[in-house]
Amino acid sequence: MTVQATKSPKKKTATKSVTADKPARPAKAGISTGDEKPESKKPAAAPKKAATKSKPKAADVPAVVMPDATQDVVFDPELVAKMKKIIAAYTDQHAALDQITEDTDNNFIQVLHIDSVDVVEIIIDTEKEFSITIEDEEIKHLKTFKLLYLLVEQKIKAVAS
Amino acid sequence: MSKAKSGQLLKGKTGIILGALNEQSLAWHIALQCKQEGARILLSNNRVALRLGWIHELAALTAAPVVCTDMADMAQVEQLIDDAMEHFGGKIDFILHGAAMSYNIRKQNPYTDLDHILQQKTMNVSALSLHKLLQAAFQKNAINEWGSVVALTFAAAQRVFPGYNEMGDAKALLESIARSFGYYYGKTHKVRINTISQSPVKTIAGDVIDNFDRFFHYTDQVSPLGNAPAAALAKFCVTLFSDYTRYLTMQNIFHDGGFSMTGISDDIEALNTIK
Repeated sequence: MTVQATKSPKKKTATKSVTADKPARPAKAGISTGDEKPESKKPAAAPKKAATKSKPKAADVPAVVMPDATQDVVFDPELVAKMKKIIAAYTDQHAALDQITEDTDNNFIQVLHIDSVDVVEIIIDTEKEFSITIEDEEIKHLKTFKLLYLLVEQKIKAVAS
Repeated sequence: MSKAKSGQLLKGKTGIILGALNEQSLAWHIALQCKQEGARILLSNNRVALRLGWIHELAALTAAPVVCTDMADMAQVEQLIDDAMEHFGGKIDFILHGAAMSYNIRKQNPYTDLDHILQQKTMNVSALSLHKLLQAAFQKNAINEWGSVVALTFAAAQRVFPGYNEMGDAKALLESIARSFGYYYGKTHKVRINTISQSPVKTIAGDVIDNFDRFFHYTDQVSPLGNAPAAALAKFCVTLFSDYTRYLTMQNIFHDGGFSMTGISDDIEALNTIK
């Protein structure tokens, strides 16, 4: 589905944006992070066909291949520091956050008292910080810090290559 | 009885709809009804809602642009008003404030053990954001004469609903802001401001409330007409945006099937077990 509007206001600040002109990302059924820049300032045509379902069909959702969480990991301290800085804004459990690479199989979402909305905030901040895209299906699998770390590292490498 | 045909109650009018997340959302239904009644609208919500929700489907259905706004940030709220005026080429006619978030409910903090920093965030997003929105619109003279602003609220502003936690306080503040600003905006620009106290509706926001299903069932049993569904709210809301309710302002209107005025109901199942 392509989402368009009759006209889009200009984006004027870095912290917010108008996304009406941006076609929906197929994998996310038109979800925008709100951080994308409009692709065009031209008035767009009215939508050709209205959507009738609120959720993507199973066939529209790409299969995700998550990193192998059983592998041994040598954490890059710089990447860990950046990720911790993002997560720190959404938790009051700072002692637990400090220890997060020590016991990486813990469910960091529970340990850090992070709720589902916080998770999405963290994902949006992470995408912005590292210029990567994390799919909705991938978010559902993110239970441990190790897995989040591996996914971010994998995506950073993919972007670089 | 034949199905009521939608008219053009809002033909030529333009407005902002804040708070649509998915097709369960009250703001979603109101946006669709506004479009059906001939209005041109602009949709807005925060970045998480845009990421989690399906607002772009609503944008397609209503031919509306989507603006990402953090309602706790005054600069962004001002920008939203600027964006709307730029998009519509002038002043707007109505605003729906349907944004709310309880940070303490999300963290499962009971009312007697609130995190007060989170409480402030709740108040900021769920209540003070209405003042920010009205102040920005007022100072920019962004709403046409006889324009209308509606904010969504709940009866926990007047009575205690334990599962509703800090949101009862937030809604009380929201209603107070609507009244207070309604005086000034009415006096100077003939803009009316009201709140609608709506029956519980099963939305994502409602899902986080403790024992929501019991709560929903209870209000449904107490209300002589039953809980008002979201589609009915949407129809009522467009009348408040229309020219047919020009002298209605500073009010909190209960759209709740009679729940707020009912003391006891024969339909409450628990009562029927008492001999």
